[in-house]
Amino acid sequence: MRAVGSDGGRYQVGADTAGSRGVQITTGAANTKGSYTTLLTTSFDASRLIITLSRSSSSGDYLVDIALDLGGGTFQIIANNLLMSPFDLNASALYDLPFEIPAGSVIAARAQASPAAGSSTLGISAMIVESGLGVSSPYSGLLTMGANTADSGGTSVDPGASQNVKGAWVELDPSVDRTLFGLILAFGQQLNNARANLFHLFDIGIGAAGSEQVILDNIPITQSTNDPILPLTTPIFWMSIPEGSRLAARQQANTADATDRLADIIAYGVY
Amino acid sequence: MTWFAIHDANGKLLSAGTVIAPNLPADWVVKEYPTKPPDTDMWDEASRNYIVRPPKVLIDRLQDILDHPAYADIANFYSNLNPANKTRFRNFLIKILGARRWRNQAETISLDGSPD
Repeated sequence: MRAVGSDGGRYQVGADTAGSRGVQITTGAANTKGSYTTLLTTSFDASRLIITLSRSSSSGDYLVDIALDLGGGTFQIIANNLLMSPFDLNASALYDLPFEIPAGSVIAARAQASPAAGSSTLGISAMIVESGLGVSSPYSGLLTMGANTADSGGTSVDPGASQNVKGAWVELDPSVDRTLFGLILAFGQQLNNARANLFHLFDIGIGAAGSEQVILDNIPITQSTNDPILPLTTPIFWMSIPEGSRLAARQQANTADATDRLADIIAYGVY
Repeated sequence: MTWFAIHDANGKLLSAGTVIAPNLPADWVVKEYPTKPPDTDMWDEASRNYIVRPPKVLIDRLQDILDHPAYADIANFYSNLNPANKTRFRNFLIKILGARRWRNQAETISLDGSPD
């Protein structure tokens, strides 16, 4: 369905209108990517791609690849291992990607899920936005840092036994392979749906172990007994991260419980 | 790939990863591991090493319903059932509770969080 935006730009969305939901994607067996499913064929040049991951058929962690279908069974991945970590079944993880997508592109997705949710479905909606000023985007992809395809989650960050004190840094990427211009963060609850109400503050740093410098501090996260980890994703934090940098994360939490204090994180670098 | 864990003189873990900085403070200690320890392990300051993370303690809401004084009427009802009906009733409650059967120690028995 295509609509005209009030700023002169255009929008186009791929959805399962018969079911009032995102396009249904079936995951592979446990922790294995399934087949690609087409989300959208673009009608115009776009400078923004908004991906919404929502409502799974089974409780678990999900990792999703977004790709351009080049035909002949060839897919070019533009966003790798986007995380959705629902509470029970319900979640809505939104990724706002500043990508240049040419008209006529076929956007597709495939997904994997943690073992209990293998061969299940989730909804994925793709929206493209044409800039009202006709300005193209210089960005074309994400570098994924910290995804754990072995359990369809992220990198576990432990704040340690001291409450409300930043714990140790843990490595997300030892050396980024290109200059990055922004970061999106996604958080996962490690399939732990029986938590007390908790708060966390996350830092992101760059530098070798023992000399990390904070580049983002005190990103707030909450977890509870009745809700998914919130927020599931962040907007883009625009910043320059030089090629070769080591990226790390640390956090603090208001609990010393050895399991509940944990949370997963994945960082996505915009390039 | 070698995994490094850096701790201070008190055993507090400062950082972990595959790339360490040169010229660390003299009282910091770098420990090497053949691979990254699993998430089922956690750092222990006392032993200056990774140890197995203790299992999460979960409380069975089914037992809460049958044992808690606030639900004494249910306990009385349950105690008067014959074994076969006790099993049927337990299975019914397990089905109804579903994923919410197991709670955190800090959670209330009630699913909506109202006081016990």
